[in-house]
Amino acid sequence: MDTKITLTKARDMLLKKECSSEELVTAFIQNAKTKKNLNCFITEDFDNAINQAKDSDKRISSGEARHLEGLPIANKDLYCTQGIKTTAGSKILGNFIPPYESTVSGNLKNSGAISLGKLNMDEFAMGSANLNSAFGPVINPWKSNSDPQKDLVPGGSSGGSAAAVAANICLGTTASDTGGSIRQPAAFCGITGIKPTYGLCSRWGMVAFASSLDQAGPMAHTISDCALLLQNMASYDEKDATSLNVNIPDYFKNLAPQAKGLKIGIPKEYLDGLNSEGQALLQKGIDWLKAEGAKIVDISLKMTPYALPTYYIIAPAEASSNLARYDGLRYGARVDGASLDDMYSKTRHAGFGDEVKRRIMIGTYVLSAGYYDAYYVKALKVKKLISQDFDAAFKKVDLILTPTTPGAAFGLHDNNTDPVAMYLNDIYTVTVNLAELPAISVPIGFSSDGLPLGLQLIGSKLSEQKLFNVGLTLENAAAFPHFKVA
Amino acid sequence: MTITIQDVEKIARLSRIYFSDSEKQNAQSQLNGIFNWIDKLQEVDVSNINLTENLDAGMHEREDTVKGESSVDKVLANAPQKEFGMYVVPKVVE
Repeated sequence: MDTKITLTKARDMLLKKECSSEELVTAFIQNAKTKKNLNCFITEDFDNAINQAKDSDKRISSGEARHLEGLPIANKDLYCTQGIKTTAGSKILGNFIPPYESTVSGNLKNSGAISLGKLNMDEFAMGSANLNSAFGPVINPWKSNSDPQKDLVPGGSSGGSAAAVAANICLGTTASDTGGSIRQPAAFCGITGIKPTYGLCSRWGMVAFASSLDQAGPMAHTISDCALLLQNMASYDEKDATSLNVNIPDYFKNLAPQAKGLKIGIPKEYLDGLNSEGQALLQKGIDWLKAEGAKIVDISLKMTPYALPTYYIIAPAEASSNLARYDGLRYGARVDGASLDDMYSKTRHAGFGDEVKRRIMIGTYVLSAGYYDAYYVKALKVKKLISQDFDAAFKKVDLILTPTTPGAAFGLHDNNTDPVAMYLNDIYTVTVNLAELPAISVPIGFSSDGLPLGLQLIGSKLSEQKLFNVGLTLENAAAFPHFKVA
Repeated sequence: MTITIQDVEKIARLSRIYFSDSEKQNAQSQLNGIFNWIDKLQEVDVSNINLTENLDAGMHEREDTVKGESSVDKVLANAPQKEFGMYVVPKVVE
């Protein structure tokens, strides 16, 4: 059976008994086996998946189907999955098998979704191209017109999550976004991805990178798919002190295209240095929303040029604290040493990749005596200014529209030895994490070289329904060919 | 703001990460590049920002009660070495 279907369509087929979950899961597993070269999985869990599919079929027959019953998905290897090896894309966790399930992956399991395995990612979610995984890079299923043999990056850090959806290896995936790690790979892979409001999804059981910025979110082909996934992933969790105690709306049921009477802000700072392709893409989005009755408003987010430097102080600072637990003592890989400190130093030297070490060093430096005020405290204050920028903007507009990325996916081997050049990939996404807001990337069109490009909608806190609904307006107008890639 | 090799050694010590001499050189030049870029933040006027206002908003407590099962076997399953239901580790306390 065909794997070129959306999650929404597959769910429909199962509920109408047009196919069984076992047929569906088997078909996606077969497809996954033909696409091993993409390196999407760190750990496959195919046998378990087939068994779960059989259980799902029993539930569907007896009228006990849960919301996502029998649908094949996969989890970013950042989520602790009970009994299944979890690596966070790193060597330092060794063969760590979590004794418990994360809230987010557990919510999806309890909704009946079936995980095919754990997806490849940049180590500890640090990266924008999935080039920092200890398990090798992920390959973007899309190829450029000018050089179809050239391997391209899927984006990061949720590279495996994005590529797996784009290649129809599963119907949807869990991912995470600390500085753009859902939205940027969604744009590079021609799929939809949403980072919800900070606190909407629980971080319990999610390997921590930057605790004040990390957020779980879904990736899938369409708005409708992401709506279904998000409402099943999100929940109030008293085990996460930053979890928002709010009811999760039925995003899927309330989905309807929206634009009429809404004010859409275009931040002028995002236009500085935007290339002509990005400008043309943004103009398409503007024209489509205007045609549906939206009003376009020019706004200013004057703190935009300071967002990336702020992020590269706060995120590494929090990471240096969160990654201090990886010491080889109680779990994970260990390199013996002459003393305790020697063991720690050698274990962490061997176990962490270069980008992780770099960010721990940055973080340790900005938190150290003599530098804490000038860097870390300063960055926290600028973070507040960035939030105030958005608060002021949302008094004038309902949503903000921007490109998701400065350009399309680039080559795996394109020479990128300057860390700062890689950091600049997140220029349009990072502000959103710092302001704790929700934002979605919708696939819109193609670069002149035939590679996917996306537009980003940013909303005020807890405006996910509006993001889905206006996103649906863009999706309908764009008519993006989701299954064009082989 | 220029980071010296001594700075790199100090941060490596604080981070408990071993760096070889060539790795220290590399780290020094990369960190200098990154901090040159981060130093842009010095331009921003933050004199009106008070970080300590509204600190209680959103912070809440829960009852300190045990929920769910706690299995020593499950937790120790990942231990590099175990004995008597405990972790066996290199000497931690001198």
